[in-house]
Amino acid sequence: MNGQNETVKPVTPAPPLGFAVIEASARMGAANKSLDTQPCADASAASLVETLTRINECFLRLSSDDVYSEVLDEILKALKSEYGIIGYIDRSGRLVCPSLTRHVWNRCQMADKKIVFELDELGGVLAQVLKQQLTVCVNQPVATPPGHVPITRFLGVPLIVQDRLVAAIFLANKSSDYTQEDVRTLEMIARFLAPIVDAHIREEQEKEKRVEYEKRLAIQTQQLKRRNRQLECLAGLSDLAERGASIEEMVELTSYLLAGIFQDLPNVYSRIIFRGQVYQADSYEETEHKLSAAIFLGDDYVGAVEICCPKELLDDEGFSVYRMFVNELAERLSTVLTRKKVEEEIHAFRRQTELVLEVTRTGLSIVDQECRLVYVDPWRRAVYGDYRGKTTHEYFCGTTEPCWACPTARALRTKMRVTQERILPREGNRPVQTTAIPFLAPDGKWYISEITVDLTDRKRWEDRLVQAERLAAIGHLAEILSHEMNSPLQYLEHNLHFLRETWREISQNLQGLVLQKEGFSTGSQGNMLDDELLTREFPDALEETLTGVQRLAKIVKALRTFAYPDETEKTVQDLNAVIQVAVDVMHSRVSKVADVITEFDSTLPHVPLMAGAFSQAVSNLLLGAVEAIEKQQNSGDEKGLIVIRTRRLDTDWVEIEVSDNGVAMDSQERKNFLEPYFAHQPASVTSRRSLVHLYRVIVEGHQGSINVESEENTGTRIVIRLPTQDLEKAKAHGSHLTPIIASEQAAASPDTTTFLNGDISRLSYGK
Amino acid sequence: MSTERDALVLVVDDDVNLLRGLTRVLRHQTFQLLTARSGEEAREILKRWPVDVVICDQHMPGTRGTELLAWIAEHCPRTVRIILTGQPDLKTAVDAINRGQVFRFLTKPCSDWDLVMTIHDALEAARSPMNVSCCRPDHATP
Repeated sequence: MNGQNETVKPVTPAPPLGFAVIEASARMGAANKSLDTQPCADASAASLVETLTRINECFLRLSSDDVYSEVLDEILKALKSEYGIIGYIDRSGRLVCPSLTRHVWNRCQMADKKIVFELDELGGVLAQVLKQQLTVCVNQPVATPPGHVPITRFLGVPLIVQDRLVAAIFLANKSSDYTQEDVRTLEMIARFLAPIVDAHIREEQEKEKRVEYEKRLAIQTQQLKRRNRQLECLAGLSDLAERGASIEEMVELTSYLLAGIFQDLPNVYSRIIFRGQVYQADSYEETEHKLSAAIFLGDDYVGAVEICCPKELLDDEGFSVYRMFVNELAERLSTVLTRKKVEEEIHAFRRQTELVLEVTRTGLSIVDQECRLVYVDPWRRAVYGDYRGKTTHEYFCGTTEPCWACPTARALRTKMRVTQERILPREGNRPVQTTAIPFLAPDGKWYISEITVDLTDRKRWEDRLVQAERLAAIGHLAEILSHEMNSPLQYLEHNLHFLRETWREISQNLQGLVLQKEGFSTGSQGNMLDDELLTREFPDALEETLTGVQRLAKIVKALRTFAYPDETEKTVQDLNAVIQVAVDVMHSRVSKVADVITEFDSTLPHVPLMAGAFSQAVSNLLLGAVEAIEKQQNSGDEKGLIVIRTRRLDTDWVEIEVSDNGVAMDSQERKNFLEPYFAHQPASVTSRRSLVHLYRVIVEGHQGSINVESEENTGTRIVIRLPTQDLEKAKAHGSHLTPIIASEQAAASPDTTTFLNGDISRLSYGK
Repeated sequence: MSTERDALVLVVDDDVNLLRGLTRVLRHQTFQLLTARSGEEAREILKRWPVDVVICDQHMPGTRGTELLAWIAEHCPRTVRIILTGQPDLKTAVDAINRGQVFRFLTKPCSDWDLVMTIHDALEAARSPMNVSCCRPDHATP
């Protein structure tokens, strides 16, 4: 396109043209008048205005690129050209030619027929128009690329808006040469068209952009919708867990939720495999390509979430959100199921624990620093009701303040374990042992765990043991008493025989005297009644018989006290007398082995006693002392010594001391001796056996204390302290929780190293 | 060989009342009755007198009847030994037979008649030339 340009005329930027046709045409008219002096100017101006009006209409009527062909037709018609192109510059600076003269398209033989051109690939006249932005008019054939339709004449104008090339119009092959008039007309058209095309292009571009945005928006909306559905699915999972569904139910329902997620994606199938069980829809189809994420229960692999889908979908970037989701779902499912499992385990453990508590009738309550209940076992919940917000004394005792015996309050105060035995009136008066154990929780606060162990069975067992011991003691007693009574019986019989015979002799002698008087003397010396017989033996025999009968009576009386069966209430008694009964009963057994010295305090006040039980306890101690003495005594040794002493400690306490000089107890024996429920006594330990009895009588029955001191070479000293008042009765008024063992008085009595609620570890022995 | 008049019977018991009662009951018998209140006294008498029959209580302060009888069996084997106990138990019986080689085992209360008959049987046995082994079948308890 190097053809010589006949007319090349620079075009000054046109003044902006209004959009409105009328305005434009009015100005045109004015311009024409000033510029044109030719006679046909008016006529051509009129046709130009007409053309511009039609062009304007085209733009109003049509949108998109169709408008250009219409406009081109108008221009071709106005300038009588055969071919024409209107091209605009798009955003990327290319020339887009939506309208070519239509039949050109068919005739064009070029290899790469197209309507979009890079500016750089265009040369010749087109380049001049586009790059130099000049109006080019050539009235001779121009060089064209091969296959291009031949161009004989050419007229091209650029459309310029504010020094910017927006489009160009090319016309060719007018039957006659393009005139100055034609150039001016086209320039006029160009000047008119430039802002319209610019606006049109912008509008089209905007439209395009909007469409693109809308498309993107639609995609994003869909993605958000999907994401939303996914989140709903995850939320639904958590919801299921809260609604208390079982693990299997949760997996099944999750598989439904999962299927919902993929329902809008054809050929995508989902399923969940859990513990070998497969949860999937009927329509499930296995494909080669799968997304899969593992489900864990704790640390155990238990299954997977699986998505089957076509390969192209897997490669699609938009699908990656599902990839993420599957992993998320599996993770959430793992978390929820694990939590559920742990919850179930905790629940099961709690159930089990509570069952154990119930079966063993063991109570468990946990109390915080303010004595408020944190937990109460279900069995007692059923008895006492709702515990929340209540203090332990309000709940169990119905009092506003903790009572003196309250183990919880004491444990809180001392931070030490407190054990107490008591009777629970609201639980069928069952005897229990309550242990309050303080512990420091991780939150830095103190709590008390109160364990209540049922003692019904133990008490029953103890009762039986005591009963058995009592029977054994009675058996033992019978043995001793048989000897005690047999000796008097022996000599009673002898004496009575003697008395009978002597009486017979006396009566014979009386007859003899009568006969002698009458002169019939027998003279038999053997039948003679001597003085000694009459003055000593006969009265002595009578006297001794009486003594024997009295002794028997005394034994029988002692036996009655000793083995009194129905003694349940304490009566105020002379302690010394009761001890004497025991000494009397045991006399024959003890006297052969040891001398018994009793040092009774005559000022001793009368104390509340269960006399039978207490005298049995004393006799047991005596027996123990006897055995200890026998153990170390060899034949012919001197007798041992047992000392029984009573004394008044103060107004509240009296003391009974039983000491012997027999073999000392070893530490195990001592421990066993004071172990209240020591069950496995070796059979050889006979007398020290009545320990349960002793413990029950002294500590439980009389709220007293027992102290043992035993040293080698010195023997054993057992000190019993008894209260002068009935503590049990006194305390019973204070609380309906009657303590079986009162431990406070142990602290009240000075210098005692004794029982505190059977706490053996706190005992000390005299050393 | 002593006559019955010369026969000596020793009763050992710590209960004076019982000794005196026995003395009264046995005062017309043909044997002479000696009493001791303890093992020690009994030993003294046995050392001094040729006692034919000993009747001994089991439970006495300081010594047991069976121990005394065992001593007698050793030192005065010709003395026939009888035990009289108010508290019979197996251990006493076994000791009495094995260690004391007793002729009879009597329990309190024992009737006068039984006692007298047993003493006479014992004296019979004491007089027999084979009295060293006292527990002959023909002296079985009636």
